[in-house]
Amino acid sequence: MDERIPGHPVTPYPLTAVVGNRDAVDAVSCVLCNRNIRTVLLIGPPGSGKTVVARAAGSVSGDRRIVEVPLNVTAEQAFGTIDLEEAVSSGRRRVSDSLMRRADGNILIADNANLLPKSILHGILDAVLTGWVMAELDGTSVSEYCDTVLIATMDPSEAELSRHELDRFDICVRMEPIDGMEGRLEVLRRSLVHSHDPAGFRSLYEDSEEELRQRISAADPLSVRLPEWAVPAIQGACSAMGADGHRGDISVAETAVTLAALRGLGETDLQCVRDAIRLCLPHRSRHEDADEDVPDIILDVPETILGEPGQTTVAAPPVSTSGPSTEGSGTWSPSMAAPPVPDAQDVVFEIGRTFTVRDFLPEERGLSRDRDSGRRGLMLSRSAEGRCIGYEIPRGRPKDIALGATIRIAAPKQVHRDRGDLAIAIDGDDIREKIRVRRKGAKMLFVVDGSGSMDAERRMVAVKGTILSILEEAYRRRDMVGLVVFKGDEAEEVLPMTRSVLTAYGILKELPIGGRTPLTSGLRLGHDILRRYCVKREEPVMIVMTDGWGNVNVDPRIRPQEELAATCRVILESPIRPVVIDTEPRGSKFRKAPKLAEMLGAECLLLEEMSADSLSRTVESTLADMETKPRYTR
Amino acid sequence: MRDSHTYPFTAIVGQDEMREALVLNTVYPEIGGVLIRGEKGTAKSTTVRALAGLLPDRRVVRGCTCGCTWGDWDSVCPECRERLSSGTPEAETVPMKVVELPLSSTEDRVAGTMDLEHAISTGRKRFEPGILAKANGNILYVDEVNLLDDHIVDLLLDAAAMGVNYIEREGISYSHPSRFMLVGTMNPEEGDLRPQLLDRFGLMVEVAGEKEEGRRMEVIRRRMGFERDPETFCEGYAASESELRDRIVEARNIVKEMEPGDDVLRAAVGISLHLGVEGHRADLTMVRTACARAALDGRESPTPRDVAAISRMVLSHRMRRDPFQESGLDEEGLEQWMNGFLDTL
Repeated sequence: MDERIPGHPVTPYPLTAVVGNRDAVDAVSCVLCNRNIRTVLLIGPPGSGKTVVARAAGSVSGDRRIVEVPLNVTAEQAFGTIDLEEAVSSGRRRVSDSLMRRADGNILIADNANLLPKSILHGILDAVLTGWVMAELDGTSVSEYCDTVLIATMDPSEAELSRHELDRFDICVRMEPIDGMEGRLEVLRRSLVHSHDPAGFRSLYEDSEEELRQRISAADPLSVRLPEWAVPAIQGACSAMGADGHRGDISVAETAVTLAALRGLGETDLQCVRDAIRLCLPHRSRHEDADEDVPDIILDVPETILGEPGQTTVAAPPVSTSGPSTEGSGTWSPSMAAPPVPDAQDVVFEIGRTFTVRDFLPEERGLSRDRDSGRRGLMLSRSAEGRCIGYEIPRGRPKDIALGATIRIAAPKQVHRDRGDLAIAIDGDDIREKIRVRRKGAKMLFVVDGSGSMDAERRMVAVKGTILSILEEAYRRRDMVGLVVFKGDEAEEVLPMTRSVLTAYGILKELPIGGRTPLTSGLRLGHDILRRYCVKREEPVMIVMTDGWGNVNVDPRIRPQEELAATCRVILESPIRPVVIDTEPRGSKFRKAPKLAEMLGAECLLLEEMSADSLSRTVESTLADMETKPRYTR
Repeated sequence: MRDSHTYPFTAIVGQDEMREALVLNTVYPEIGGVLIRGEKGTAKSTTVRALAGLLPDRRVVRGCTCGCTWGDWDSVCPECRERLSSGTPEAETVPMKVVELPLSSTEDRVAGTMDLEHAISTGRKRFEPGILAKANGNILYVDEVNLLDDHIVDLLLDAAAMGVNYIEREGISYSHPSRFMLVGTMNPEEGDLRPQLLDRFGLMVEVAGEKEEGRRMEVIRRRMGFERDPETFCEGYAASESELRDRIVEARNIVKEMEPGDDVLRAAVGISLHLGVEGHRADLTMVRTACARAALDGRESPTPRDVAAISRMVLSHRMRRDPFQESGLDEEGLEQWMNGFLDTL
């Protein structure tokens, strides 16, 4: 009889058996060793070993146990609520056993922390960092001491954490899967042995695990000296990397001394500071490509300050992000520097660089603000679908009863009630209803100008880059997207509304442009498509990307301008939320897109303004690149 | 009438790849399940449900609602731990099942929650198991898995990653083993699957309707034969069903003892590297699937050729790391390269 069942072995993988990933192992060692380092985040794609490393912490933590934060956790269970059994039997309100109470003195593991409800993630971070659990739930106040650390993981392709949330992690390690034949073979060999015989595999690493366990418990970061030069070096690194606030400095200093302690040093050395900067700063950086910038900074900072021969005495290290961008070159091929292609011919352009899109979607008009949790992409669900985030006193007849909450509300009143055969009698007043949220998944339709006028400016590369950036964001939020292109004599629905962003990408890549500009047709088709989605208080978004120079009308008997104005009026009066992205370059004198936006009652944005990066360097540098390139090519 | 009879697995016409993927998983559940992509009406659901007839028996703890495996005492639910410490657990043999996860499932029903009736009548909390408990040791089948609500997918991922379902809900703190073979079907036109969930499926196969006329006729003939008289129809396939079941049982015994050689490991990593597939789950799944394939053939150890043969099922859905890199295998070029590569091992 075969006893094996699918899944992963329960015996944890030894931390010292992890191949490569020194930084991740260092991070886990630091959080176990120094009480002032409390939060670690491991970021990586699936299969990069982040979960293995997080769980392996339990293997070297001595007496401290692993306490899992499952994604199904509810707030009252995480932070404590009224103790049901106690309340029923005595009528007293006592705080129940909670996840955080069990975490006291132990280690919290939050796998896929970016998928946890925000309120719970914030509550846990607060509790871990302050050492106090504070909550108000079910008419009970919780205020309990809690000494714990948090090791969290996330896959950034699923959902992002905000800068503020990232800043609350003392250490953050980006993990990449091991590459190359020999490295991968080693990982594979070890996983095969481990899954076949977990206990046997563990015993192979018993010595090294014990050694690390000893090292962690013996290390005393408080006794390690932080030398004079280190403080300005750390501050220099923070400002160079754009890590605002003091958490960055403090984390680097604490991590540096902890690494030194773990390495048996009495004083922090240069290597420890460099390692600490790499562990503590990139996720706090304002710059988008901070990970790639780190090596320069850690090489520059301490050496200039140490005044090593041959170095300048300027303390401030060069900020590598302000220099000319060379990355944009990938979007350009010299053949495009040729004179504009004749109008009749369709040309396919590459896709420009992508970037993080700023929050540009127009606000919804229908949803009353006080009911909105404020989180983008989430909406309150009126049906019994979606994730339950809390409960409330029902308005009218209760439909979706929060049973657990209802019972807890009723529990303390039981001693005074006539209960018959039941242990708990419930009154109408006790009943609570669930508050649920659903991912909103906006409906977005791109109405893109594919006419020759865009070709002339060779801005289609940047336009495609912008659409792709919005698509990437749309994918993360599970939006539906569609694509209408107007060129030549008519508009065409090249991509019906779909959730398959991959399909959208394929079509975008092959999108040819050329010919005249049937703007009105584009808007009409866009309206017809989106009208189907104007149901259940939905307000679909129409993203019009054009320079606004429409030159083909639908009905030859009507003047083009009147026709356009009439079409815009129809859209303006519908629930569709239009937004216009002007594809004319910044500084162009003859703009028509703002006029179009006015007619649509929409905001008019410049292509250059679409990036979330405050420096807006991505689009601009792509564009600058395009404009300057011909001079460098013969 | 029909409910008592499942359409026999061996009566399905064509769909070789889908059937192979399911059988390989049954031989070696650690492969991690199958994702079946294809249009409607391509026998996806029929095939998955038919698999139930081939599944081996499991020995479980009698009376356990979480389906705890007999003998696996390190990872049983708290109640079984209690049974063990009081010294009264009994074993029971039950058939492995196909447990369905309906799209409309709520979090409570999937993860499990507080037993309300018990709470109201006794004033005490008790855990009421959900679908993840029922799925333990069985096949968890999600039809149209790409339409599953995000937060339900999260719960699946959580359990799949750990093999344990941790519940922290409504005053209940509980954990029980939840190791299941995940089988999902999807129609790609209705949207993509999250990469994280995609990576959790050991294998992926594409299915299409039968094109060839003779076979299409055969599909209809058999289906009608089954609907008219399921009992006689199933009897007609009893022999082929039991033969395949025996082969699976035999292969399960072989695969347990199998130790793949270094050439097999190199083949797996080499092919992954060539196709630019990252992450170690792909390598591991290739080796396991190759083992299952060899075992199903009655061989004692796999060869690099086994790895090559199954590489498509393992890698095709892992070839894009983000939704914007295109996937797809260049068949001819790959085959040429593969032959050259295997010769170097």
